[in-house]
Parts: sequence; C-alpha cells; structure tokens
Amino acid sequence: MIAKLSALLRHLGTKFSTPRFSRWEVVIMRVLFAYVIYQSMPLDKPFNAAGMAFLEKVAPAAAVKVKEDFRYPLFGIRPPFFPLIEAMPGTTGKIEYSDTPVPVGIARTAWGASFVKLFNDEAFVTKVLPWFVFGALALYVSGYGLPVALPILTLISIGSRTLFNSQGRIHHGFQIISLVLLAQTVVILWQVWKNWRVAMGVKKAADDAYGRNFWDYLFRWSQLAIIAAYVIAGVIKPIQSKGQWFANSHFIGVQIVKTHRQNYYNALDPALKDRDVPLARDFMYERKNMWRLLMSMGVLLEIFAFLALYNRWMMAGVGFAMIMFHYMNDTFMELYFYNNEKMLWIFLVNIPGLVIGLMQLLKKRGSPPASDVVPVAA
Amino acid sequence: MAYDTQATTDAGVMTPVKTDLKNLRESAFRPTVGGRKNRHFPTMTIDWIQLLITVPLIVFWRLWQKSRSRPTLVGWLVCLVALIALNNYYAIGVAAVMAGFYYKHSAFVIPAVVAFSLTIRENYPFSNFPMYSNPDATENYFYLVALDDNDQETPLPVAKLTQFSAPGMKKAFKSYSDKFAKSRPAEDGKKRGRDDLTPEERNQVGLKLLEELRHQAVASKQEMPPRLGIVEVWIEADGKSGWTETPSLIVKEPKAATPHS
Repeated sequence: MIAKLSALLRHLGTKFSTPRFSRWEVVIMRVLFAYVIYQSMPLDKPFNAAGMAFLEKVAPAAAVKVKEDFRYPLFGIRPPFFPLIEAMPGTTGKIEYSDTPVPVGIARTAWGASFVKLFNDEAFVTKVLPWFVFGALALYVSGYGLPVALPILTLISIGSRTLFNSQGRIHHGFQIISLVLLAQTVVILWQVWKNWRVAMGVKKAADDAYGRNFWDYLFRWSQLAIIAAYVIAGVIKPIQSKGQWFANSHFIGVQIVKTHRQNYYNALDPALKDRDVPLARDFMYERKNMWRLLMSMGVLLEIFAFLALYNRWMMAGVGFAMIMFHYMNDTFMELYFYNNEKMLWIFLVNIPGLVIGLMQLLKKRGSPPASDVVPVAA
Repeated sequence: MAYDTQATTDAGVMTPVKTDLKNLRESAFRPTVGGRKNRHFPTMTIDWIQLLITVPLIVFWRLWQKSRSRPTLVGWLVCLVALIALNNYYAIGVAAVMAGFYYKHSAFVIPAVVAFSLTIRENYPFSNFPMYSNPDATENYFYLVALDDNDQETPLPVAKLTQFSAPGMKKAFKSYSDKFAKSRPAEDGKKRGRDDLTPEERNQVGLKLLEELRHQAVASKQEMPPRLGIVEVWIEADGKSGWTETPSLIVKEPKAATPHS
C-alpha cells in the first residue's frame, strides 16, 4: 500500500515538474509575450493611438466595425478570440494621475511613491520611457541581456500600474502581466546567481541535473504565476463567503443589475435607460439552479487550475476552458480581462507547443517500442 | 410590472429626480450604515516580527537541505514552532516555500503565491481578488449628481466628465472610507471598518472624493456644475420575482461653497 502510494506520488511529482520546452516554442512565446508587454506599457502619443491608426490603414472596413463595437472580435470569431483592437499595436497611454491618495504596494513607501509618480511626468513618459521600453523589449526578444531587460520591464509594469491602482479603485486587468514579469525576473536573477554568463545569453544554456535549462524554468514559472492568479481568485470565494458561495452564486444576478445601472450612469446612454434586466431575473429566479451550476463550475475551474501542470494537453485544455470562462464573464457580467485571455493563449494554450507535442507524439507512435529493439551488440 | 420598484425607481432615470429622498435617507441610515453586510476580509498583514521569524527559518531550512544531514527531531520541532508562530495563510506560504526547497519542485510556487497573496491582499502586483467573492441578496452602486439649492438631483455622466467610471467611483468611495476608518479608531481604541462610519463621516469621505473628481474634470477640460452630490443605491433581491432599489443622497457639497464654479 505504502509502496503504491509512494509510486503514485513519484509519478505525480514527475508529471507536475518543469517540462522541456523546444527552442522554437521558447522563441515564439518570448516574441508574443514581448508584444503583450509593449501593449501594456504606459507610453503616450503616438504609441497609444497606434492601434487604431494601424487598423485604419490595413483594414479600414474592420476599423469601422471596431468603432461601432469595441468588442468586434479577431478573425470575426468570439469566442474563442479576443477583440480585434486588442491585437493591434497600440499601448495603454500615460497614467493620468499625479498623486496616490490610497497607496498600494510600493506606493506605500516614500521612495516607491516618488517612483510611481514618474509615470505621470510628461517629460519622463514622452522622452525617457520609450527608450527604456523599446531597449528592454529588443533585448528580451533577442534573448540577450535578460538580467537587464526583465527588471526594467517589471519595474515599469509594476510602477505604472501601482500608480493607477493607488487611486482608491483597483483594476485587475494588468495584474497577470506584472506577475509573469515578476516570476521571470525571479528566475533570471536566480540564474545570474548560478551563472551570469548564461543568464546574459553570452554562453549557451546548459541542462541541469534534471535535463532542464533556465529557459524551461523561465516559462514554467510564467505558467505557474498565471495559474496561481486563478487559484487565488478561486479559493477566496469559499473562504470569504464561509462556504456559502456555491449556494448563493445565483445572487450574481444582483451584480448584473448593478453593472447595468453603472453602465448607464457612466455616460447616461439612453440605450441603457431600460430599467428591467431580464438576465438578472433569469439568474435569480427563473433558472437559478442552472446558473448556480455554471457559476460553480467556473469557480471549481479556478480552484483546480493547478491540474493544468500535469502535461501539455491538460495545460492547453485548462487554458482553453479559462478563455471560455472569460468569454462568459464578458458576455453576462461585462467583466472583461483581455490581457488574461492573451496570456492564456500564449502560455497555456500555446499552439506552437501543441503542434510540437503532436509531432513528438506521432514520432513516438511511429517508432517501435523499446522492448522490440534488439541491441546490436548483444 | 417588470420588477418591483417600491417608491424609489425615479432615482435611476436621467431626468431631474423628483423623489423626496428625505424619508428614504433616514431609513437608509440604519445601524449598519455603509453596508448591509460585513465585507471585510480578516485582517492579515506581514509585520516585522513575522519577517524576523521567516528569514532565519528559510535560511536554516536551506542550509539544512544543503548539508545533506539527516533530519533531527529538534530541527523539525523548531521549524514547526516557527510556523505556528506565523499567521495562518502566511504560515502556509512559508511552509510551501520550505516544501519547494525540500522536494526541489517548482509546483510549490502556486501554494506559496496563493498564501502570500491572501495575506497581503491588494498590493500590486499581488491581490486576493476579492471581487464577487461573497454574493448575497444585496449590492450597492453610486452615481454622481448635480444638486440645486433644494437638493434636487440631476444625474451626471461621470465617465465623460472625469477619468472615473461609475464602478471606479464605488471602489474609490470604499477605499477612501477604509482609509478614513483606519485613521480614526473608536473611542475605546478599537479598530473601525468602513461600515462603522457615521453618516457625517461618510459625507466627509464623499467630499474628498468629489474634490478628486473635480480635479480630474479640470485635467480633462470638462466643466462641472457648481454643486455636486453622490447618491448611493442599494439593490436588494426580494426573493419572489424581482428586486428593489433604494437610493439615498449620502454626500452633498455645502450650498454656499461654490469654489470650483
């Protein structure tokens, strides 16, 4: 019994360990992530307007549709794709707050507050910041100088978003990018401690005792950061509601009413004047058990997101399920997390990785089993 | 009728509000002013004492692993006592880090980050993601209004005039209230939460928020009316087929003061 349990734990330990990423997979993930980092950077004109300008130039018809509805999807298909404008090369724009009335994170300290306020400084944002951003991104994409590039990008990401979140209203839309950058920074600094030449890219990354190099750890820790964010969002619900979340989840209908009203009061749009919210009634009364089931499935998906670590296929499956989960939240509650969706596509679904995995699988099936191979020297 | 509105439906429309809010205001300020349920997450922070325990513990553990010596009962007991001395979630996080070192397995990063985030809550880039974590039959929202001399309200499009959206206004009001409550403990020295604020204190908090909104309107080159207010609306599922919405004017700028006009 104990031997069986021990064997099972060993099996799980091996399965949940850091996988080996292929060289091309690493390059593609790095380039795509660099693009998402660029989009999240607080750069001012012309970069923040570049997305729509680019779209108007390459696809004017699509640009018209995006202007009508910002949710108009990439390839015209949603789900699973996110809105088209989110794929365009525009940045988020300068942070328009000059103070930190309700400081969070590093803004709680004097030096941190001074640092985050830099992202409201016109001269810094327009003249200095682009050099740091593009320089660091170029290094990141090339794979050289990561111990320099990653801390810079992480500081910019955390600093600018801390200023944004220190206004008394927390926005979670960029958290996942900062967390992944932080995770990658931890891995690269660990690698500097072990061998700085490898970390800087001047020496080829050698495999360790487990047959993994630092690129494998870099991207595994990125996956871990993403999954951890979902697990936190999942476990907080039964904790904070003292286990009542699953029974009370149909009351999300009240939140839907709230969202409807808030959307109206944002701009007093006459189209939202209608005071009935049929979906809320559906949630709370007409099909409340169906909604309870669906909402609970979403939370269970978050809590058990760590199962994605089992293998490549589980990773892609959980990633895809999460994308659908975000789509449902966007549709029913107008809670959109497009950056999360992008990160799920890059690091969890990881289409290049799936193709490589499939090729490896086919190759393995095509080759004779190990027991059939007769040693030549026998 | 599509839903039960009681006497309060008018507060939602864009025409000047005719509802006499006086009585509603009085009924809205029940003993649990500011919220009908306690939404506070248990206070958990990392203090210096915990750090003073954690750092030697991790260093000791790492050195122990590196020395390849056999685990001793005393060593295990020391670690156990140190962990017990830490806060609940934080202790789980530290234990996950130790297990990660022990088993040399990256998957322990997840429980460590989860426990750490639950401990330090909203501190970018970490968060405990508390939104929608405690659904119940009530919820509130806020909107910005212009007030005339008779306190008659006209809703204003907050997202057009400022950089705050209506949800942002609510979040800001909650954070400002938390900060206010934290800075002013009760007379017996006990900590207070945002739900413990009196109507006058909530008005004070709201005035600060209005000041910020005015500041933003100036930055966005938008003109604000001379006198502003904030209306809070409580939505409550009636358990039958609909819900009620109860507005109350919780913040109003003084009549005489029109410094920003």
